Amino acid sequence: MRNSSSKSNIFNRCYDLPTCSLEVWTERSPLSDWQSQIVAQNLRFQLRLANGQKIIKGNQQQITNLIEAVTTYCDRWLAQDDFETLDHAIEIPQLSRLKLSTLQLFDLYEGLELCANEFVILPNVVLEVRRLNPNWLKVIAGAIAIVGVTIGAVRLIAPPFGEQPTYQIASTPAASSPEKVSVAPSERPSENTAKTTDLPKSTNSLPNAAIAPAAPNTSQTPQDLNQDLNQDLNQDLRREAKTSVKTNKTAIAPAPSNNSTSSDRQRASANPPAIADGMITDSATSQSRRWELPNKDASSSPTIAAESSKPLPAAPSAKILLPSPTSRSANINTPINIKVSRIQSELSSDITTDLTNYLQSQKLTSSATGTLILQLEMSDDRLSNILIDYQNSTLKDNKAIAEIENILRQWRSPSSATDKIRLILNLK
Amino acid sequence: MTPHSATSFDNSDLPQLQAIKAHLDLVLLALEALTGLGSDEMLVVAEKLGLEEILSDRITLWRLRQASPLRKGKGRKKLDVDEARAMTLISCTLAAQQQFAIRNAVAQLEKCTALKRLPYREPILGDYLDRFNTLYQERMAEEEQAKPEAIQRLALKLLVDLLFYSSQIGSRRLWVALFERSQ
Repeated sequence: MRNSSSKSNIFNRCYDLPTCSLEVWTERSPLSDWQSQIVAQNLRFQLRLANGQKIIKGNQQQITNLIEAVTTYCDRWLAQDDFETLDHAIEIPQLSRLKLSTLQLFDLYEGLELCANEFVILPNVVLEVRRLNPNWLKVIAGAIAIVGVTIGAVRLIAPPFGEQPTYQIASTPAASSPEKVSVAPSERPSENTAKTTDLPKSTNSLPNAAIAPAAPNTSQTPQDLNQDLNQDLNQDLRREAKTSVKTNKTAIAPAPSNNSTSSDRQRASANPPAIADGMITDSATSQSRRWELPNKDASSSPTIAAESSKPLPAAPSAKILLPSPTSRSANINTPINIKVSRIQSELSSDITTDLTNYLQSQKLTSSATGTLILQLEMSDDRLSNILIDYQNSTLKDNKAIAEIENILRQWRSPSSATDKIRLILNLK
Repeated sequence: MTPHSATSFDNSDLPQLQAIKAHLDLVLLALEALTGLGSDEMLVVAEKLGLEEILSDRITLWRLRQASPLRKGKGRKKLDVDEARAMTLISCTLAAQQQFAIRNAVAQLEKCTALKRLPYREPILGDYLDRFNTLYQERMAEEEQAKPEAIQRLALKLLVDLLFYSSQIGSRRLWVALFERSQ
């Protein structure tokens, strides 16, 4: 075999054997990059047999056929145990019939194998282009259209369900003022209506709508209060007034919401008290004045904010009711409930809570409403002294006051203590 | 000459596999008969090919060749794939080494056949056929003994086989031929 000089892309090989000579010309296929051998492309060969007596020329497909035929013949021959003749006749498609002696066959087999080892000779592949059956196309196109329309329809229908809740949530905050507390109230309307029937208080029957008109009234209070209070309180109250609008809407609010609003008020009004206990009286007085105004406006009973009978968060803290006009006329024949709007003392929360609960569980027979400010003195497990601040209390009904005194005297503390208690009650 | 399995436990293999074992032994036999090679040369080739683990001494070589169903004697008649492959490689390597002699013999065969002369009258072929006959009758079992004509035809066939196995890729041809036989 001799290798002739080849250009980068064209190869020429000659396989010389005793009885045959095989010469091959081929191009290098780009597929060679993925093979360890060179992939032949446009291969041509010339086979000289029997010292030139027979010359066979062919292309890539023909040499493929030749290799296939010779290999098959030889393998079959070698697998036999016997032989009939040493003359071999091989049929090759696209080529003439070969008649070879054994040695010629061997040499030819050898040359072809050497060439096949060097080049990857792939059979030609004929690609057929057939038209797709139009019927198939129509069916497929129809299926795709149906699927697409279905998906589109589903998308149109399904998303609104997912989006509505977000719209609901988004709208209410927008309607309310941009206060932190207002966010919570936005969710209360639904809760309020649900709990309206739960609370066993007379004011519970008030619809939210009735409370709404109170909003403008209460909104006036900040303006009045601004004149009286310092700037911090003004800001707090403004905030609270705005929230009061919300809480008015959510008048019959569950405890948590009430707690938040009342705590805001408490913060506003309690800030001064928090500074020093000694100042409690003054602040309470001013607060009572504050609450008087709206009460005058609306002849009101305070809102339900403190309606919740849940324990107060801290000992010296108290829920502060939001004054709002409520129709008292509806309450004439109903028992009057006592609400502890404020209880101030240095006693433990157990005692104050117990007193609050006790008072709020009581009902008065005399139909009187208003606020009552008392100063109690506790010794041992009961109240030893009860002082009423007539000047600052709005409740004028002596009968009701007497009832309250009685109620207070009958209270027994869970634990013994000696201290003073400031008590602000709201009756409605 | 199709070897039929003896009625013994040893020859529990399939008949097709028996043919493989028989053929491997016969190829070596033909090489011995033609070139006078012995087990020593075979062991040297085994070592050169790195097959010492499988085949390292005469006893093992004899045992492997003894696996042929045609052979005399009882005993182990099993042949592993590794061992068959080793024998294949050794046979083809030896044949490639002796390609010149083999080719000469085949050429002579072609000529005398064309001239319609009897092979055993030819110098090289006559010696080959004699030696082949002797070795065959020495080693093969009684019931496998065939007529001299059959043995001669077998010898000549094996000679031509050796020619094809003597090529550079002869071991692949032999391996394929073994499996062709087993079918």
